Amino acid sequence: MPTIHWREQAIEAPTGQSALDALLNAGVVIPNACRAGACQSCLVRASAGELPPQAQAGLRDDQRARGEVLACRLPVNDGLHLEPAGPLSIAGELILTRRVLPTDSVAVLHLLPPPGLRPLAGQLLHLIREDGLSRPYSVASLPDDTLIELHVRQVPGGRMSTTLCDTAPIGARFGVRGPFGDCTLRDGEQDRPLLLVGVGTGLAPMLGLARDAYARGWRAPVTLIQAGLNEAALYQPEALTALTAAWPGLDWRRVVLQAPASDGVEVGDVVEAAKTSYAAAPSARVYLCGDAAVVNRLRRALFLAGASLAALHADPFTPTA
Amino acid sequence: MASLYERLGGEAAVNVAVERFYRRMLGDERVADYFDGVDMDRQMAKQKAFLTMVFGGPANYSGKDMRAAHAHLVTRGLNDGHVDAVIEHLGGVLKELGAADADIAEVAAIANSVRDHVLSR
Ligand SMILES: Cc1cc2nc3c(=O)[nH]c(=O)nc-3n(C[C@H](O)[C@H](O)[C@H](O)COP(=O)(O)OP(=O)(O)OC[C@H]3O[C@@H](n4cnc5c(N)ncnc54)[C@H](O)[C@@H]3O)c2cc1C
Ligand code: HEM
Ligand code: FES
Repeated sequence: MPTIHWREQAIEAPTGQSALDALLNAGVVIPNACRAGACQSCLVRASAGELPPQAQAGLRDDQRARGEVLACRLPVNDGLHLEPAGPLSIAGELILTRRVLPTDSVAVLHLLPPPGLRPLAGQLLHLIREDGLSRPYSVASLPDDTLIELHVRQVPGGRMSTTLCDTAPIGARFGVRGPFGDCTLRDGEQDRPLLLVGVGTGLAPMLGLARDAYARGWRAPVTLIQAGLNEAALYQPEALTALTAAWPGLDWRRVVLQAPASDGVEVGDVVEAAKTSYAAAPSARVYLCGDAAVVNRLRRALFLAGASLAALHADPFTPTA
Repeated sequence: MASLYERLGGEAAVNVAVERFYRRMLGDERVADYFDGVDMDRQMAKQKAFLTMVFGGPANYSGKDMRAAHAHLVTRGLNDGHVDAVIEHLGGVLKELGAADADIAEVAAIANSVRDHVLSR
């Protein structure tokens, strides 16, 4: 019988069994759902042992390189050492250098990264407060920018968002883990249209992607939809003003749920707006970000409209429990 | 002779079929309500498990599992008509992907073989 290790714990399991079953049988709690390699619930990390390709199918290259693996598709083998996957290493400290408040409830933050931290537009960083509280935020800046830009909505009573939007002084330091996520542009796709939909502060990564596309000289049409509850919620960061001025070809739509709205701002459901933009460019790669309920509705609607899940990237801001 | 799963194209075929199948299910009002979860990734994983099973692929489901997976749907009125709809969409997708009629019939037969379990009979 092969022996595998979960951290320090040795576990014997019959040949042919999946690592997931072996761990569950030994009483280790591993989330799981499909047991078919599709949902990635059972992601763990292997520090040693044989990893067949099917056990890493669907993972990003950086995850593979770290040894992350789907336990349900991994047959036990002697010498396999497993541990929890995930952001264990801390990348350094960010220093808050600038805070602009375009509306009452949104802060645009600029932070000085530690050496070597150059997140792509659209990726996530986990910010860590002194007391250890950690929350993900999406990146609006480009890797070559000196400062990292984040947009944070102040959630009423929210611990991290209040610190970031209000109480942290300029010069405050935050721990950081990351970058994570594949809500990023793909290389060599300059001729493929883009549909970028940002709901609320979901604008941040979409603005980052639009800036990235502009910097890469995108040739196909790019649509950026900014959505909010009402016109007051449609904040306009400096980088957006600069981008729309520099790039008249960018199809920039602003959509609010509640009237009234001034010229150039549409009133309606962002899902309908996104569907019309998608219908005009069905070969587009689609990126959706922001409020979880809206993003999940968008994702479903665009999938039903024909978008393949492989070309449909969504980062719902799943609230903390 | 290759197994049904291999003839249909194995895992690669499941990966292609799963989106089309799921899109059909979500778009069919007879059955869409049963798939009305916000978590599409989890639902896709279930669709993949479903297809792997009816393609005769490597999954070890028992009748007991099929009962358990659908029991909460039976309490919401799951019946023969829904199973028929599922089998109809399955056939439609396989036809689109160019499967042979005999293979489509075999897939339908596998799906039918768990009908009573799915419906808790
Ligand atoms: C992938 C991802 C990317 C994210 N990117 C961004 C980003 O770019 N900008 C940004 O502003 N936020 C983003 N978020 C949300 C962010 O991580 C925090 O959840 C948010 O700032 C609230 O944290 P908090 O500590 O202030 O609130 P907490 O103290 O954790 O929560 C306080 C109360 O507010 C509720 N709550 C928490 N989050 C939300 C929410 N989003 N909406 C409504 N109620 C909530 C909680 O349930 C709780 O009752 C992202 C989240 C995810 C998962
Ligand atoms: C035709 C025969 C059917 C077969 C062989 C089948 C097979 C499966 C399989 C293998 C799973 C995954 C179980 C798991 O691992 O958790 C599943 C889940 C599911 N099936 Fe079916 N199914 C059938 C019919 C139906 C019908 C008719 C419906 C509804 C219209 C349905 C709705 C669902 C739903 C909603 C789930 C997810 C359950 C959950 O986790 O909430 N199935 N099915
Ligand atoms: S349980 Fe879904 S990928 Fe392993």
